[in-house]
Amino acid sequence: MTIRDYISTSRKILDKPINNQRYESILKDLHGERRIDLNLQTIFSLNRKTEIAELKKVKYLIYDQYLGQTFYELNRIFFGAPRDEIGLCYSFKLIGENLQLRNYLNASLFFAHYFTNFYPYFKEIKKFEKEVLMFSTIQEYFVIAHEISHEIVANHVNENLFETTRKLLTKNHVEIFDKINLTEESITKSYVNSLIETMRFPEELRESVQSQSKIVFKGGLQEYISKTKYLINDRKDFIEEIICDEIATNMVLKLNISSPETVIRAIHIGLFNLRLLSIADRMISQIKDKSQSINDYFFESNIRLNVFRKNFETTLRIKYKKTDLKRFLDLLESDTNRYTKLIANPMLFSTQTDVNEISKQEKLMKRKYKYKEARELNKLINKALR
Amino acid sequence: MKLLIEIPRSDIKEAMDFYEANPINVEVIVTKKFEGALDIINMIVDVTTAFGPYVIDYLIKRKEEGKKSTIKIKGIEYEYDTREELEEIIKSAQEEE
Repeated sequence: MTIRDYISTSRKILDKPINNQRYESILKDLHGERRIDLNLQTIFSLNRKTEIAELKKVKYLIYDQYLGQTFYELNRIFFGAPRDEIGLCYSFKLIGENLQLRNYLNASLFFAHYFTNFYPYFKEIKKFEKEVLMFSTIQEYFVIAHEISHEIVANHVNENLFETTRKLLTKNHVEIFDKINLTEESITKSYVNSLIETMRFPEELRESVQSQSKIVFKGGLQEYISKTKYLINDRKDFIEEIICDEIATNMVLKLNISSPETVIRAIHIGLFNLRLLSIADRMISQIKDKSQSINDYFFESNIRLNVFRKNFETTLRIKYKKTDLKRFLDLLESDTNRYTKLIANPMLFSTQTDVNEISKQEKLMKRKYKYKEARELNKLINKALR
Repeated sequence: MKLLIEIPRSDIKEAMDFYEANPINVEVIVTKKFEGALDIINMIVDVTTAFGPYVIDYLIKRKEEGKKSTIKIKGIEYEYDTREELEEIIKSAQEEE
């Protein structure tokens, strides 16, 4: 059996043109002087997943071009969407496609229908072609560099780097709470504001939302700190992701594709894009498998984003001798707010509510179909979503 | 027709036993996805007419023992509760080929 057998059984391949040359060239740029034996397989699949697979002692980097196209769409929304209905519409597409992958065809068709209803709003997106292209390119470089980084870590990195990273994370992300005044009340207040804005709840409901939200943050700051400590001390895979983010970002910075600020900003948004895709995937996984907690994943990825921001603030100061970073840090913060409002919150609040509702509807959650019935439903879904 | 079986990484010994007993029809793949090592082992299985019943037995046995396995055909994840349902999924996929 070959790697093609693995690809064709594990993914829903879409019949789209593949630009293998482009990704060979990206891989070559990133390899630089290093010798890394990875055999590139460029594919276009509904799964949007990049991975390293090992078969018969040969390692393959499977790059999914649909991931790059999705980055392009999300960046287009991030830069040019005048309203959050567009982010909501795109989240219907992501949910619909994830449902299709798990054979929840009626439910997928339901979201496909929602998507087509909202699609006219896409015409309102303002064009920022230059920025969108640049950000998407940097994000594709980063994803491939991140995979190469896992190979570097597996073959060339010793335990010392893991230990140093743990110490640094403890200093910057745990001990910091001894110095700042972050209360349970302030966290809840910020959550309630987001919820009211995204769900368009009337102001009269604020008090009731506030009291219910307290349950979400039960345990408060102490629990936050203890969960962070667990990630740092007991989750080696989490530390490896942090190390790989750093190695990969440095690899992309080294290529001088754009200014260091633009590269860091694009990767920062790229991490938000990847988190969104993972949440869409987990939302559907957790219908059957309750162990796939979105709250835990969201927490973990927040820490990862915080670490990324802190690391590259230091890199800009020390390596690139940038002394006044206020404007840049403000820009990262406004990017975070814009992404949250336009893309993340519609997925986390509105779409999550729809998924919860739908998962209670037995007819919509049917997964067993006769072959002909499945073929017809898939045709309708494909027509609506792609 | 080829089928992908995903089982928890904790069952790796069982996966290797299944592979070693059927090296022509089974292949084990180790993967690493973007968000870290997923706790699963992938097996590609070539479901020929002769080997099909063995695969069905294997999957049903796991189900009866309460062990988790996910099956995928051309990237789509299928659900089954009984032997008959699993046979029907495999038969439809073979006919489609």
